[in-house]
Amino acid sequence: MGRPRFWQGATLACGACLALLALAALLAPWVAPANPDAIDVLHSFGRPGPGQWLGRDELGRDVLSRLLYGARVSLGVGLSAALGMTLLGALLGALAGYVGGWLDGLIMRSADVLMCIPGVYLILALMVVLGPSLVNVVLVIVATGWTGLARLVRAEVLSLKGRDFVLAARASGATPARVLLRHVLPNAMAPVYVSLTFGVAGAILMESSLSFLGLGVQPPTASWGSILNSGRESMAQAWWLTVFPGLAIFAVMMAVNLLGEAARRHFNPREPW
Amino acid sequence: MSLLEVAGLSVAFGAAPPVVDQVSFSLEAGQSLGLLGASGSGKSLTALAVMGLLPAGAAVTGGRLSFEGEDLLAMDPGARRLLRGGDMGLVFQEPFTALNPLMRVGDQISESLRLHQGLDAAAARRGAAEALERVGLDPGPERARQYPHQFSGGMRQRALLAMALAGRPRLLIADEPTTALDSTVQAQVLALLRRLQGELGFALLIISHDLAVIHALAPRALVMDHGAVAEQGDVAGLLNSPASAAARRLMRAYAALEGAAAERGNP
Repeated sequence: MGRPRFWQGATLACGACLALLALAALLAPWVAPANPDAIDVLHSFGRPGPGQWLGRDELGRDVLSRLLYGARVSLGVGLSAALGMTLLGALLGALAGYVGGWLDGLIMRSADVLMCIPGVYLILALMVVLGPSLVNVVLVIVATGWTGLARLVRAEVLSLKGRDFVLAARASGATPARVLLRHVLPNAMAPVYVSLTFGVAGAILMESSLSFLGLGVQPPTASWGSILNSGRESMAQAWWLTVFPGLAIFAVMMAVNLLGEAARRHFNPREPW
Repeated sequence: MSLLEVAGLSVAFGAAPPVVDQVSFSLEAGQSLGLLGASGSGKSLTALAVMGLLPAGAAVTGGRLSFEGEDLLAMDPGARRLLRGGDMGLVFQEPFTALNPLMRVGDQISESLRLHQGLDAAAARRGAAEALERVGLDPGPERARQYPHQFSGGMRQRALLAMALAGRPRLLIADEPTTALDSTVQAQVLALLRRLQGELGFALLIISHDLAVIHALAPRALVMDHGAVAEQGDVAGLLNSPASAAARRLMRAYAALEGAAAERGNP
């Protein structure tokens, strides 16, 4: 029974979309039509048109250029924070479930403590202590975001641990690490893919909230979230300030979600294609 | 010296009364021994104690276990682990859940080969194909690359046997190996076990609640009841003149089934 390739149709389109956005972000200094921070108040709220394809904001800055530069911040924070919190959550959850005992207690009680403080306040408090910077935004999102996934993975691992095939692997002499990595974790991946895909979107939005409050990137540096937030006040007169960054965030979320769903199905041999 | 020597083995969950109580038996190289008993009589826990795979909370509280003269209970965990899948193999009750659903069947067999015989990937793949062929499964590359859900119950039980036998064990413990299978497949798997034992010469500890299964594979059997050995002797003797209450109960149940079958046969 041949399996279809992973990269085809929708997944190929999503991958291409993400790759294109990442490439645009990397090449922003060369492809951006204007300096993203160049103020031109005479043309504030300029409509989209030739020379300013996505319009201008309240200070007359070129939205396309700001989006391209902002992609560096938003994609960077979104992907690295989602990856970090997913890895951390999966690892800690698997350890808690598989090893058990005091390690389980330590990890899960830490998760409880983190979870019982409302996320935004916790992140704000940490950001105030650490100081505003992009690296800190990623660190704080990772440090507070792993708990939910750890809980899910731990529960999966606990139920898998008692399954016959795990006992069979142990009966054939596999080391505990091998049993965990080859037999238990691959069977507990479903919540991991979901966490990764939702994590990207969540991190991009969290970065924008922090930037809005002045704790993320500092003005005038652009991020998709900060463009969106500043455009909210003038939504009635300048729709392009919210629509285009919104579309960019939507495209990334959509692509990552579809890719995650495809990966989940692809790596589950029982799923019919 | 016996291959496996179990003397006064007791297993308990915490401070609760033992669930395996002073069980003793020995098994010579290449021989077969049956372990007969109702559900919950401690058969499986005895097997798991021998393998060193007791579930969390259960522990050996007394007795001795020795394999080829070596004290299993004094062995360090690493050496004990290498015995599993090497000199000792285990086949389970449930062929439907004993294979990892996300791993190709061939990979699950070659995993143990690579671990115990230090084979590289290609040699392990060949070894896995051989192991599949030995248990009567098509050894072609297609079969080994399939996933467990593409196997029928009987095929899975064969694959599990291939997995347990890949390391050429000197002792194979088969815990209710045919209970979950329908009776035609059951007969095939029993015949296969007998043939493999003849070919490979492993000692077989066969665990079942079913007299017919024990009778088909082992000349000698232990009857277990509430964790203790109620009776032991040759299977023919057990069948004709069971001495203990537990053995008589099993025989009666067996006879009742046979009787019901006979009645249905005569309209």
